Amino acid sequence: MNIFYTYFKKIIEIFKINKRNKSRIGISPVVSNVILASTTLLIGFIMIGTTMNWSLTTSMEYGVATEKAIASQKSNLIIEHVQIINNKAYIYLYNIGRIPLRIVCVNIYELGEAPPSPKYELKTFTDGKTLLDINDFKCLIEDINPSLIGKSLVIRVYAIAFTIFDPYEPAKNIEWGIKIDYLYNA
Amino acid sequence: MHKKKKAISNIVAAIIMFATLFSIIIPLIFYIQNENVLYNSAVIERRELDYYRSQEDLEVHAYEDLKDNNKIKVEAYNKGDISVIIERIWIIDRNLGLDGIYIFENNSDCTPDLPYLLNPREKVVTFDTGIKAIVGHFYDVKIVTRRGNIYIPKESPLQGGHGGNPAKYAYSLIVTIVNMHPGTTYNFTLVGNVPYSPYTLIYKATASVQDISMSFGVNAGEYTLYMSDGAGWNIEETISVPQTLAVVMDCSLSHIMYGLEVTIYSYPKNPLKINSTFTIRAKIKNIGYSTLDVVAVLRTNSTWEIISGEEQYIEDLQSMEEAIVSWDVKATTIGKFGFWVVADNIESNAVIIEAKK
Repeated sequence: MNIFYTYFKKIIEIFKINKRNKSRIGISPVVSNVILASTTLLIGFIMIGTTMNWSLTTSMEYGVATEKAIASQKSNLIIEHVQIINNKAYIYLYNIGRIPLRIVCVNIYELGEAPPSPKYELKTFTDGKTLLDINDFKCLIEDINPSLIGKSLVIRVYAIAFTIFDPYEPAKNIEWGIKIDYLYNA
Repeated sequence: MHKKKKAISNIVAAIIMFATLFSIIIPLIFYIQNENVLYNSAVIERRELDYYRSQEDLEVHAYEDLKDNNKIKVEAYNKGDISVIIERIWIIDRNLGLDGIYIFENNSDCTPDLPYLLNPREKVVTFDTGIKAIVGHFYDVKIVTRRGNIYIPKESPLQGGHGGNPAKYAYSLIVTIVNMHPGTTYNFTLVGNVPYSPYTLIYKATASVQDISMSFGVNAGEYTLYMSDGAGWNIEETISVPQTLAVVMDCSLSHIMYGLEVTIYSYPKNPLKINSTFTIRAKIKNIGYSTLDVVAVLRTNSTWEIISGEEQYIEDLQSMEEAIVSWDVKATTIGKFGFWVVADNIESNAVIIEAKK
């Protein structure tokens, strides 16, 4: 205990000596400037790094969002004709947009009923391809519930621009896709 | 000499700030601006496409040509203001299922070839699909344009063996336009159940051709015929076919917007006794096609007293309507004097009235 007390006293004395010699202890203006400049530089680099990171993230996000919005604007499609034969709907599609499309869902339901929730999966055309190019006209075959035969139907097609389509996750970016309805009169 | 000390850290901070501004923030703003421009141009392009799509206006008809081996033919007329490319023609035989779907597009058997450019108000084009209509079969017909409009003829579905619209050209309507004024351009429009309704004709009359006659193939129904001269004159007539198959449109009033005929038709027998009172009557006829308010004034070279006042007012004088106006006059001096009527700068004939003792 006495040892601790002795050490404590010595430390107090050192402090007292330092206090007394305050005007004489210090660093030169050059050193202080260097320290200050280095600190500023360090903070500056951290700031630049953070800003650059934020800028890259923002521009990337903005670019991706713009690409989706542009793809959505360029997407346009019409259903030219629907023929229902033998529990199958032959849906003829014509891409009148400015970007190739992929069809991700076809919903067929009775007119006046609530539409079923869409189930997204990549659809294949009768030519075996999945891409509906600009000005392309292709046919898609969809199975139809036999209970719907002979009724007036709504054929709803969901399409998405190929640039924002994700084959592993067809529902991704669906909010940037288009939805086209066709009224089929029995 | 005292050397002024400068703070280096301030300069360093300023350099870093400007470096950040010019190398990161400003390029980011440019990038965002560029992205916005790209998006806006895509929006504008889409709007343009939608606008042009909405401006397409085709009149399409389908029929079975009984004189050409019962082939199904499709007629198209571009009555809009922009060119249209016909991309595809559909003929769907309802009785044959999938085998009955005929799509005519590139390199198909359709004559003329598709796609087909149809300029505004160009001649009617007839597409020969080569498909023979089978008696009793029903055929849906569609025309698809490149911009994505689908036109369905009103005759669709066609019934095979009926020659298309069975009433097409069932009657001939003869329209005769007479008394056209030379140099005047007339617009004629026939609205009703005609193949390309409304049918419009613009015709400029000449001194040698003031009457023309036209014939239209029409179906039974109501029709309205309009004529105008582009300067305010117009007439219309509604007829029923087949009750009426000939119409005469009279254009004699077309170039006269405002016109009056002023005639003194009643005045006393001469001579009169001085200080006697007499009446002068004038007939004012509106020979223009506008309704007029007319001020008729009795003029004279005498000093005789016009008891009823010089001016007479006629309100709302309809086209081809007549009005009679009269003035009571007292012959106050001896002598022969002239009287005439002026209405809207049109002068009547003058009459001489004499007063004696």
